[in-house]
Parts: sequence; C-alpha cells; structure tokens
Amino acid sequence: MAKVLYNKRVLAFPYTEDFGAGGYYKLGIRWEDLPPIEPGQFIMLRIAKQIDPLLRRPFGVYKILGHGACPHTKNFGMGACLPVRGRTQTGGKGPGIEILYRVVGRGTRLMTDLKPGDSVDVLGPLGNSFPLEIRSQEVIMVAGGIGIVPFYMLAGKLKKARLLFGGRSKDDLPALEDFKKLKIDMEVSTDDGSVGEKGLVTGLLLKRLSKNSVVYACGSKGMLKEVARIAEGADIPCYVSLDNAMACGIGACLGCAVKVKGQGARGKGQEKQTSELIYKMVCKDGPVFDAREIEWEEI
Amino acid sequence: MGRDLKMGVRGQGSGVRKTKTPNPESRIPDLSVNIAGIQLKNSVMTASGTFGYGEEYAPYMNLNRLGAVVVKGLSLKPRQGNPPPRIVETAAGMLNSIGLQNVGVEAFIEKKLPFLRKFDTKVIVNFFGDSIDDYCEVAKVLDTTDGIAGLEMNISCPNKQAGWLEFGTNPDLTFRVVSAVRRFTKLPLIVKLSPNVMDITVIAKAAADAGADALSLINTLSGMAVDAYTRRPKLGNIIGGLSGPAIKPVALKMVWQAFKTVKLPLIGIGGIMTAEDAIEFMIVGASAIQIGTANFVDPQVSVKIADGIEEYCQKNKIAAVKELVGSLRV
Ligand SMILES: Cc1cc2nc3c(=O)[nH]c(=O)nc-3n(C[C@H](O)[C@H](O)[C@H](O)COP(=O)(O)O)c2cc1C
Repeated sequence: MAKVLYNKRVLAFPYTEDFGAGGYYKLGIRWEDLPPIEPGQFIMLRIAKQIDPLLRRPFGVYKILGHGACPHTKNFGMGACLPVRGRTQTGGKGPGIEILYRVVGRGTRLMTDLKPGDSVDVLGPLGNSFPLEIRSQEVIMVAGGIGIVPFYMLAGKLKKARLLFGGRSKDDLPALEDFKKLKIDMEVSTDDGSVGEKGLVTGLLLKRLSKNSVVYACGSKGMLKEVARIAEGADIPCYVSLDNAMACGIGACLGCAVKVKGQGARGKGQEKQTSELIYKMVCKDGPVFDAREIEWEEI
Repeated sequence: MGRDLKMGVRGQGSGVRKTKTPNPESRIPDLSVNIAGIQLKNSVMTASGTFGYGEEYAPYMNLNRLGAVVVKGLSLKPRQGNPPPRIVETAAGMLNSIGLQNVGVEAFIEKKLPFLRKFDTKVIVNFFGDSIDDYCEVAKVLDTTDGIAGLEMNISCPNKQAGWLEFGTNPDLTFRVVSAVRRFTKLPLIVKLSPNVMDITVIAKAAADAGADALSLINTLSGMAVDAYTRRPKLGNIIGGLSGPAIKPVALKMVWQAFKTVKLPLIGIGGIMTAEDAIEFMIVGASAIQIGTANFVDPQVSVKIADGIEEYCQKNKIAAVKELVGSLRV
C-alpha cells in the first residue's frame, strides 16, 4: 500500500455543465521500491476499499519524487527539481510519484478528500511511453489543459524542447509554474485570452511548425485530432497520448479500444486483412500512438 | 469436525464425484471441488472476458492458486468487437459492450494456450458462435486440443439464423444449440446462462435436457447508460451488459432457482468481490464460483477469495467446502 504524502488544489477551475465543478489537484504518493517510470506511462489508482465508485482510475505520472529518480536533477540540477520552502517537496519522504489530476466526476471528487497518511493502492507503471530516439529533431510538445501531465517528465528527458500549452482560460493551465522553471521555450494560449495568445493551441502549432519538427501531443480528442491533421499535412512525425475509459489497465478487459488503420489499409493496393484486429487497446498498446495509426474519423 | 461430508452436498447427478475423505483430525479443510468431472483444487475460477487469456494477469498474481481460469470467449474466426466507448462505470458496477472481441480459436490454441498450460490450474475454454454450426465447429476444434479441462458455452449470443434472437433467451434455441454441441465434444460441457430471461429455470432445464454437464450463471444483465447533457448513450453500442456488485442479488436468486430445478452442478457468477460473497453463492447452491469484474479492481482478488474461503471453513469448523453447497436454511 502506498501512502498519500500531500493532496492540494493548484487551480480552481470554474463549474461548467459538461465538466462539472472542476479544479486541478496535485497528489503526492509515497511509493516504496519505486520502479522505473518512463514519460507517458500511467498508473491505475484505487483510493479506498469501496465498491462505489468501483473501478480504478487511470492517471498519468506527472513527476517522480525523490532525488536521483527525477530526470530534472540530471539536466537542471537538484535545485530546479522540487524546491518547496527550502525542502524537497516530499519532505525527504520519497521515493514516490506526483499525480496531477482534474476533478471531473465522482471518483476524482472523492480523491480530493485524501489526506496525508491515507493509504492508496497503485497499480503500475502501465502502458508504453513517448519514443525518444528522435532527439536530433526539433521537439514540439502540445498540451491542452490536463494534457500537460506527461510533459513534465518528457521535458526532463529531452535536450531541447518547446512547449505549446493551451487551455480554456488562465484557470485551465495547471502547473504552468513548474514549466516556467524549466529551461524550455514555452508559449501559452487560452480560448478567452485571459493569458497568452487568444485562440487555440493548434494556432500556435501552425506558427511553430517546421520540416524538422516532431510533435508530441496530449489533450482533448478534438485537439489531438486537429494536431494530427496538421502534422499529417506537414508530413512530420506526431505522437499522441490518448485517454480512454478503462477497467483493468492491463489489456484484459478490451474496454479501452481505439480504432486503428489496418496495415492493409495503409499499404498500397493491398486488400485489408479481415483477421487483423482493427482495435488497439489504449492501456496496453498505448497510451502513446503514432498519430498516423489512429482512425481519427472514429475518435 | 468429522461430520457427514455429504451433508448438504448434491452427490447425485452427473459428474459430481466423491473425493477421498479428509482426515477428520486435520484442521485443513478440503477445498477441492469436482465440477462435471473437472477436479479443481479450489472452487475459485476467473470469469470469461475479465481475465484475458491468463497471461495479462500473470505478472500480478499467482495463477497456480486458482481452481481454474476461464478464458475470454472464443469464436471460430477472430472478432473485432464493438465501436468504442465500450465501458462505463455505473452505481456499484459497470456496463460493457466489448462485443466479444477475440483472437479466434486457432490463434488461441497456437499463441495463448501454451502459456496457460505451464500453470498448475485448469483451463476452461469459453466459446460462442453466431449460428449452431459455428458453435459446433469451435467445439470440434477444442475437443481435439490437449490441455483443456472443459468447455463453457456462452449462449448469450445472437443467432443470425433466428433474427438475431439470443440463443439463451429461448428454451428451444437453447436446447438445439446445446444438444448440437454435445455431439461434438466429450469434454465436460458447461452451459453459461443469460439472466435476461423471463424464467431462468426453463432455460436451465432445456440446457440440462440437451446434455449439459454443468451450468454457470449469470452472464451480464442487459442495460444502458445515458448522458443527460449531451443526450447521447454512454456506450458506442448503446446497449451493454451490467456486471459487478450491483448484480449480485439477481445472480444469487437465479443460482438458487436453478439449484432447486436441475440436478447439475452449478457455478455461481455475479458481483463476487469477497470470500463472503463467494460463500453466499455456495450456500444457495453453487459448487464453484467465478470472479469477474472484481479482477479489474484488484488483480489479486481471486487468490484473496480462495484464502478467505479456507479461513471461513476453518473458523466455522467446516471440514469440506462442499458441505456449504445448497445449505441455505429456509
Ligand atoms: C468486460 C467484460 C467482458 C466479458 N466477456 C465475456 C465473454 O467473452 N464471454 C462470457 O461468457 N462472459 C463474458 N463476460 C461476463 C462475465 O464472465 C460474468 O459473467 C459477468 O461479468 C458477471 O460477473 P461479475 O459481476 O463478477 O463481473 C464479460 C464481462 C465483462 C465485465
């Protein structure tokens, strides 16, 4: 059993009909024998032994807590990693992970009641991670709202990266401060113009895109679809991190299916093989996919 | 201790064999059960569709601790399944519309079964078809495959030759498909019943008359979920199957009804989260149980339930778990 180190609201997102009473939180979890975790991987979290809500919830890992394990300690020096009131954020209590979450439903609302010392059940790390071999290219990370989660760790692994971060308003850009401390180029956009450029983050992408770019994106399905379209048009590599409802997280229930283009469909003149499964699982085959693989019309 | 082991046990009927009498002095309860000739080390199995092909869970729990693994439902040809979203959580449960996605019986035998056979647990293969012929074809292939302890026939599947009416909702269709499959396999044949019926006893009888060796129940309850704001169904398929703690009372009732109606061994399924839940199913007549949705919540739950059943027997001085079967006090 892992233990809660801290749980604090970082942004109050106003109530909307489709998202409910929002708000962004950071949850620190102490995790003994912390396994290696790659940028893009996730965990399945269970917060208590209740049967309602029943299922675990998937959360991307935002940060690694504790020295040595954090990629930023290497690239930016200890001080840039987690200084909070002169101490490390874990209060010397690492190892562990930090989850950045948005309150979207019953499960996440109950999570806001977690107190330091409470037990939580963590399954993971699960899924694949962002491919890193394309380092020589000019990396553009595109995040929408809570889609910022995988990019803190990813930024730590990349020598040079640019972050384009979009949200509905200034209250929809969680952990912006963390990224300001990193030595990366960052541009921000909001729908209402309350901070950064007024408009969509894809507008920023169109401006920054070059032939040498590689795009990593995480955000709403609508945003990802548009990012994929732009990248395809520019003929540059694009990797997206998808978020689907899931039950098991380990490829057993086949619940988090996403439709992919079959090999037959991509190959020239080939008949689409019927035996080839056209659905992939976000939990096991993802959450990171090559954007060209996804059947975006059915997202 | 040392009481009559047959008490409360339905020793009569097909395939329920007597096992060796445990030493009355021993405090270790006899947890083994025999379902239609399949000798299980304990009464705990994992339910079809909730445990993949076993390999998905192997990194997280000890498969050797299970009585049996029931694999994801197989069809003759691979199946793509339904469009997403395929799952949605509901009050104390979940709806799924996976649509029976599977690798097909051939790929299962070639790529999945060899791994499962490495473990000291029984492999029960769940299968289905769109037509009686399809069911028979799959059964034929499985019948000649080594390493399979028994077959579980999912009859909650629409029949393309009968206006997509589900086999398991009609006694006639149930009888026809089960008796057809019966001719193609000597393996123990478990028929898995759908709860979406007017009277479970009628279907249970039809399956028994057609030659089933055991019955498992229940499959998921038909249901749906809607978003009040977008007015859209929450599942891509609109309709799905409800599972989890929410369905346990329905499942208990149906096992009890079947127990009173047919003499076949029963496997209880539906919302089992704890050893107590499992024992309740045995009390109403299940000889063994399957754990479904709970695997998603806790990958080790099946092992914990097996341990919990043993503990319950020890504490309550029950020499053999079989004593519990059908011991409801009414
Ligand atoms: C995601 C999912 C997939 C399932 N797939 C199958 C299947 O392929 N064949 C089958 O006979 N039952 C299938 N079931 C039904 C379960 O085996 C079980 O009968 C049902 O979920 C009730 O048990 P539970 O409440 O413990 O989950 C599936 C259930 C779920 C939740």
